[in-house]
Amino acid sequence: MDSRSGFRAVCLLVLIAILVGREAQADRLDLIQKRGTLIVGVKSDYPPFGMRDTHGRLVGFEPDLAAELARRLGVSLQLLAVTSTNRLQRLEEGAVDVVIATLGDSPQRRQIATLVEPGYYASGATVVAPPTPRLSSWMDLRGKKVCATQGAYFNRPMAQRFLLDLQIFNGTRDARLALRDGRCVAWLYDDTSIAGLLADPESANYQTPLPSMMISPWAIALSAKEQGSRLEQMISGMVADWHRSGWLIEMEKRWGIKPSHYLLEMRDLWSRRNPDGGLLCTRLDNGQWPAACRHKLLLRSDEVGGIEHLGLLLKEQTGLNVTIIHDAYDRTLFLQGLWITLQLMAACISGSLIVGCLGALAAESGLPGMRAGVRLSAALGRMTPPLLLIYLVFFRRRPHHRQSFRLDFRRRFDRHRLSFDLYRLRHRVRPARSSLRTQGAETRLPARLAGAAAGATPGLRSGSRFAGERRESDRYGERHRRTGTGFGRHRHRCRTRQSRGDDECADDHLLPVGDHCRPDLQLSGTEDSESWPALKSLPCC
Amino acid sequence: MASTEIAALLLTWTPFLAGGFAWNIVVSLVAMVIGTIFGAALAWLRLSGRTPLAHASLVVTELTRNIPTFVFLFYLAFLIPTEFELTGQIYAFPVWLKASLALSVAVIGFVSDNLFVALQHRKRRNHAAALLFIPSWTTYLLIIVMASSTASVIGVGEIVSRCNIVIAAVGDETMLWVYTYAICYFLVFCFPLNWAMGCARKRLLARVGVPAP
Repeated sequence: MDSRSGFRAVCLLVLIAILVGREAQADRLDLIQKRGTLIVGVKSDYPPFGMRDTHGRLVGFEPDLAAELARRLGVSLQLLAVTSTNRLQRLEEGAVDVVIATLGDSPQRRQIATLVEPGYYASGATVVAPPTPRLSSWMDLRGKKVCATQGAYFNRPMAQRFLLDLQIFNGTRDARLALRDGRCVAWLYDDTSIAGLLADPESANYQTPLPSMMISPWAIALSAKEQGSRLEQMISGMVADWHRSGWLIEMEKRWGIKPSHYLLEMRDLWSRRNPDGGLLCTRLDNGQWPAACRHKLLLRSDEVGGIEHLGLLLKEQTGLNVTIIHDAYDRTLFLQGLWITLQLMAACISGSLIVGCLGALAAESGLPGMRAGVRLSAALGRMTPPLLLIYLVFFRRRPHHRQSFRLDFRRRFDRHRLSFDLYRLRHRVRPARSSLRTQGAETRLPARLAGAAAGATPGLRSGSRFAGERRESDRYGERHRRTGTGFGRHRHRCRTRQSRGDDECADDHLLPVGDHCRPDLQLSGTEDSESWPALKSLPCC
Repeated sequence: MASTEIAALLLTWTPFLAGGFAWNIVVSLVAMVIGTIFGAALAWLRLSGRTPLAHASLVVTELTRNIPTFVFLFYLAFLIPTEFELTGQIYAFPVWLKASLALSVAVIGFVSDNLFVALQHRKRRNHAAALLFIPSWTTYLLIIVMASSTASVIGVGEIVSRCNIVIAAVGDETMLWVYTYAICYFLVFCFPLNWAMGCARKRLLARVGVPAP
């Protein structure tokens, strides 16, 4: 071939490539139909969602979905194996039409690909644990050693939410071995991978006793250019049909996957009907699904109305993520906190009024020593910081209840109230005896502090990111390790904790309420970990 | 634990805890100073006779009176960066100053209200009644000293947080004693001041002509 004809061939190829490319850009659906084949990227290493059978063919839950897509489009199917790292790249290159490869939906991924709503499955974080001790709620894991695999998006939030003492391992194998050797009570991992792991006979007696948390839906992905195209509309309609008919639940059963709450919820949602008999989830005029049928975390402000719209708009415009406005869950928590504040205030005021009046009556009763006694107790009350009183009343442990010391919410509430009654007492006895105007301003502060006690209920998420005390205590610990006081022992515990390679523990976000720093502090499940910010500032980790 | 053991333990940790209590006093005094300066400005504005300014000052006073100090403490702790850069050098913003600022909000409201009354008395040449502001101010200082223990939750090394350190270090069975010991610090600090101010108030009231309660 001489150079001239070579050049011509290249030009021709480029021309064809441009034409084909343009055609692809024009409409992927036409291309698929013209080609007569749908090319789908699926996983080959994620049993039973996508794996190879003994003949090397790609099979699994996701290849079945791909086959159903091709059947409905009336074309044949070609499966291509993709991995977590190259799946979106393959899509962008045009090497595959569709990707169905355990791809979690997220706002970041929506920037680089078209993710079809609704999702066809969902994964979340759960734990694998041996049958004993039996875990009944996530709170049972508070302060316990839990193995985790490095890099999972849910490690830190789960550790923060449930105060897990995470032991981070490099890979799933290490974590599994650590669990087997009893180095942790449970293993925190993706619930869908755990399903595959449990199928392995070696770990057959393990269980997943807890409901999944931090659910993220899996979406079928198309290239970014397909946003709003006919192909996207068709596929999303098909997935909606799958949810309505319960076909996905059948497929799940067929592949022996543990029934997922997500699919059940989605079946209910997508087959729910309006009062007029029409389906709730039908396309709006703009081709979108209604906000009620979409995943809350992925909504944008222009897709919802009312108060959610305002909250999301604020987030998009200013970056201020005030979740109590647009997240119904956080809002409920916040309102609950406010309600408890009000209850506390009412309890404080009425309690202190009663105690104060009784004190004043006793002081005036004329009994010997009564007056002095009341004055003394009022003065003592007045000169004791309320926070110290709360600590004393709340944390004082009765020795004979060593293991079973648990506080339920009501008792906790009563204790707060008691502390504040004591605090108010001093301010009530005095006004009864005094008449000066300036007194009014003085008595105001306690009411404010009552509001502060309510800060001790859910709603305040605040933290130990203040290194000030840590530095302080480090310095002091240094000094005392040399002088041999008790502090050295404490430092030692902290050091062993850090040396376990627990990198999350090294920053201030993890709470030192584990068995190392406060061995006996067992508060019950209803009580929110965040409610005692002071505990977080204990000088460990 | 035997009582001698506990006494020995408390004695060992006394310098540490006393240092913590000094922080309580520092935080409270700084809060009082900041609050008094701004509160005095507000009270002066309220008396200035210019209606819009007086109104604005009243609104600000109301606002400062109704902000919960504890919540504001967290607010400032997050809002003010821990470090800031000035002319190429990095300075740390001390966390105790955040606590002082948060507590000073309550002081602003108090001073604005009480100084307003005192200044009115002084205008009417009722000097003894005006001087009543001093015992009130001192009593409020004691309240702020009590409230300064809340600074422990944002990591100020004051007495309550140091108590927690001690308890964590030597074991929980000492909790009752350590906290009671800390309460003693507050009592020892507050009793004499309270007594002195009670006397001062009595004398001033006698001068004003109101019978002492």
